[in-house]
Amino acid sequence: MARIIASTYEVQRELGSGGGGIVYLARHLRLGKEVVLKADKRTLTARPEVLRREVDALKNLSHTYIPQVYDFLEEDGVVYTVMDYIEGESLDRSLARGEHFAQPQVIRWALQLLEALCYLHSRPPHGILHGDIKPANIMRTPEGDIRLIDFNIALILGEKGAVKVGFSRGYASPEHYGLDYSGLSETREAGEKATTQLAERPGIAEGSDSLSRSRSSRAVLLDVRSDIYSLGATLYHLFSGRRPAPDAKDVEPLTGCSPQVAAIVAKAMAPDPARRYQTAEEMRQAFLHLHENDPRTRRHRRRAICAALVCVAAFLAGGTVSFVGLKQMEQRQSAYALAEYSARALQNGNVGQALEFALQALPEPGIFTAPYTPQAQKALTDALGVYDLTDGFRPTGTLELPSEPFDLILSPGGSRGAALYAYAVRVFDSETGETQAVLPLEPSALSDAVFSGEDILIYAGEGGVRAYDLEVGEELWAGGPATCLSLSADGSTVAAVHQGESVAVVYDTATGKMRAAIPMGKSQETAYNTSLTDPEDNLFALNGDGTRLAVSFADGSLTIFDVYDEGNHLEIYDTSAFYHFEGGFYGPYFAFSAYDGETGAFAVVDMDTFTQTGGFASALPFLVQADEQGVCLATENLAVKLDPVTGEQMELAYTEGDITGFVWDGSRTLAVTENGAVHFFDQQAREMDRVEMGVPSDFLCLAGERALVGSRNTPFVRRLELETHTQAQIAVYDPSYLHDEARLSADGNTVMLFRYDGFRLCALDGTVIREVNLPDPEQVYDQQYRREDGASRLEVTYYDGTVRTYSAATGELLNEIAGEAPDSGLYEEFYTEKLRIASPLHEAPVAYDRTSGKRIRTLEQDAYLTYVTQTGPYVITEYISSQGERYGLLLNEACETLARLPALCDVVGDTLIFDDGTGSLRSSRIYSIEELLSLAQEGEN
Amino acid sequence: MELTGSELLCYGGAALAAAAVVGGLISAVVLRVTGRRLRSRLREEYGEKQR
Repeated sequence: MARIIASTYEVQRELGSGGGGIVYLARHLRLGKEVVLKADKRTLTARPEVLRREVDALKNLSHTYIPQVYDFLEEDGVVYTVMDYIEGESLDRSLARGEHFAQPQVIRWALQLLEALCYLHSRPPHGILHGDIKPANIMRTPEGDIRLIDFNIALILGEKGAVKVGFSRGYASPEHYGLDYSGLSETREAGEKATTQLAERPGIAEGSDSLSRSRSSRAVLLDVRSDIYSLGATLYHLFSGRRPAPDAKDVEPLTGCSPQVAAIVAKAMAPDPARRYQTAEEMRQAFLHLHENDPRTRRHRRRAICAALVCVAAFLAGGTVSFVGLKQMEQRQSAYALAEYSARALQNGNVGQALEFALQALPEPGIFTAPYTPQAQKALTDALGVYDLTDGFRPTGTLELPSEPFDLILSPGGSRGAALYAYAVRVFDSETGETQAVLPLEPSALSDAVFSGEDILIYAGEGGVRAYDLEVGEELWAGGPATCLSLSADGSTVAAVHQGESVAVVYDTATGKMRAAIPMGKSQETAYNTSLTDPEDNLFALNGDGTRLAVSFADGSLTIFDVYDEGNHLEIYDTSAFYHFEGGFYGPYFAFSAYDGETGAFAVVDMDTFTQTGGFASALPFLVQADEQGVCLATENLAVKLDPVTGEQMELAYTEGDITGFVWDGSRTLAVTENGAVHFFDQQAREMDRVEMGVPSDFLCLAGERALVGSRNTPFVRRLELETHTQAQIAVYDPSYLHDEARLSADGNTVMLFRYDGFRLCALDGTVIREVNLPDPEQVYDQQYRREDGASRLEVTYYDGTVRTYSAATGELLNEIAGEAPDSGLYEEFYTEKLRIASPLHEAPVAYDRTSGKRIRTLEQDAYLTYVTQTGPYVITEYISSQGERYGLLLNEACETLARLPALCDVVGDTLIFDDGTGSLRSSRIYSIEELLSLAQEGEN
Repeated sequence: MELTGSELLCYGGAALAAAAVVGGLISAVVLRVTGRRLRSRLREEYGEKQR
């Protein structure tokens, strides 16, 4: 007959028995549910309320991997626990059969067990220990999951006193045996027994195992780490198929599973509880993170991170470097453009702007700044003009007017300039360009202005002629209406006439008092709008003392009026086809030219005798300047000073193109040609300088060291100033000795001027030491001036191989040697440290790398290379242009031009020697870019 | 044609950045493949990754 427990449960069969009691399968009589009844062996010494509390604690347990406890019964002195019946088999049976479990499966079970333990250990108030984890207490369900069964009730309460607790050999922690391995090292040396520390602690560990009996009779407290040990031991058995040694110190390392898993189990089974996982959750996390913590995963992650870091770093580095390079390229492009702007500004005469652009092209060094471009350096050098040591007129600035000018004038000393435009006259400082006064003009293109000295301006003001004191800034006097003005050479009187009037008035320049009124019978007015009239077509000129006035009229007549005697007029032309007159008075002579569009006439009239003393005719117009300095005449490409008595001519200027305008200040000549170039000639009619204006110039003024150039087609007026560089002079010579080359001796004491047929040796002060004519000059192949070991010589090589050597100290012939005939091929080579420069006669020279033979650059086109030398990092090349002009180029090692060296004739060490053929040798050092920048910034400040 | 220093920086840097991108793509592909293999091996050893 079936046994009924508590009138509720029918015992069906015994499931098993162990240290904790007997386990029955029973059926709930009313519910029909199968349950497990576990009969607890212990005697009831606990008080009922304690037992009830225990039951309540167990009944509240609810976890997937823990069987539910339903009830707690007491019958006949036996305590029965009613709990879920778990179908399946305990793992010890599977192990007994020799079943081997796959690692992943055991890991899965481990996680389930640890989940259960986490749950138990976290139950209030103090947690619940299982106390007897072993394969026998782990059920494997048909679904393959596990259930942790058979709790040790006593551990729930943490009871004190002698309560027997069963434990299983091999799975129980050292504490179960009463062993305390606290402080035991995890590693144990061979043959050395681990020390044990026994502590007086209240506890309940007491076992019947021989291990515990042999060790100690003292008690050790159990805690969650004991369960962890037991779980570890259980896993040990499941992984390896072997039961671990009972003594934790004797447990062999786990094999048959992954090292990471073995490490987890080993840590769980550490003899010293302090070295185990301190909580089930910790151990659970170790299993959960097997994938992440696997060395292979770490290695893979490290590789991924490294690859990512390397790629990101490389990308950022590459991006940064590229950005820096791009910025530098942009700056370089900008530098090219600015160098171009600088050159253009310099060409337009705007030196200040040219310097500004050049400085912008050479910014301060920085990470985004490319190295200085040679183009920018050349622009700066050109703007500064440091290597242009020839005396000449250089642009100093450009004045911009509100509109195109009618006329330009300079004060006699050149300190002030005045520009007449519609309809005002602007007076400015010719050095700085600073405006000093703006005065309203009579609204006519014929309106005139003249300087009386440096400070007084007499001009055709609105409503009448006016005299203005520029220094004080006040009007001195005003006269009647006027457009054309003429000042006598002595400055005492000024004649004025209005375009529409037929009476010219002569004023005292000091007081403005009218001295005379000259009825002319007709006016200068043309039928055209005066804004279109060329004021240069009219002649209106007083003589030196203001007693005669020459006037041309629209009908082609030309009359010289006696200012004070109406009956003493001289009519040169009654009427004519001439429409253009120009001229003036030189002493008693009146010189003029006239042009009718087809024929030009020039004549000089002696006003004392009223006779013509000279004259020319031409198909071209004559340009005439006649004033107190003399009579000058220009036509085609020649300007001369003419003696009005003898007709003797003295050349003033000879240009390549036709002269369209000129002015002579008594010593220098300023001439403009039809191609827009402005030429300056010295007293000997040698061209000192040439400035390309780009547009034809209509207005020229020259006074002292200042010049003005302007055009009717542009509102810009160029200011120029004479620059002399006598401070750079190192030697002088007679410029009448024509020569091709000039060289300074090595000792710096003599200058040799040589040409194909001879040479002249001079001292530095110009004293001629010796002049030599070379024999058979037509047979001269080459001349080389050599400086070696402190001595200098000229080697003249003939086609037949003869070499004559002359001393550069005395000019004497040192020796004559017959040598091999030189190669008459028209090919020359020059060498520097790194370059080989090949220079065929009819081709541009080409520079090659001397070592690799690689072509570097083609050098100057349209010029003949005569010499190459190197000084420091610079290469200096000397050329003769197709126009016969000598110049040099300062190059960097890449053969890029850094500076133009006009009139370069020699290089001695790092000193450049210049010879412009005017009798002066000048020298300059080579400026570094830092020096050039410093000079430019000084100039700006 | 000889490149200036700035051009070398610009183009060299761009080449480096491009190489980094290409290298990164290649690395990503390679790591993806090896990662997949590794995960498969780990699954064999440890079972499915659990949370």
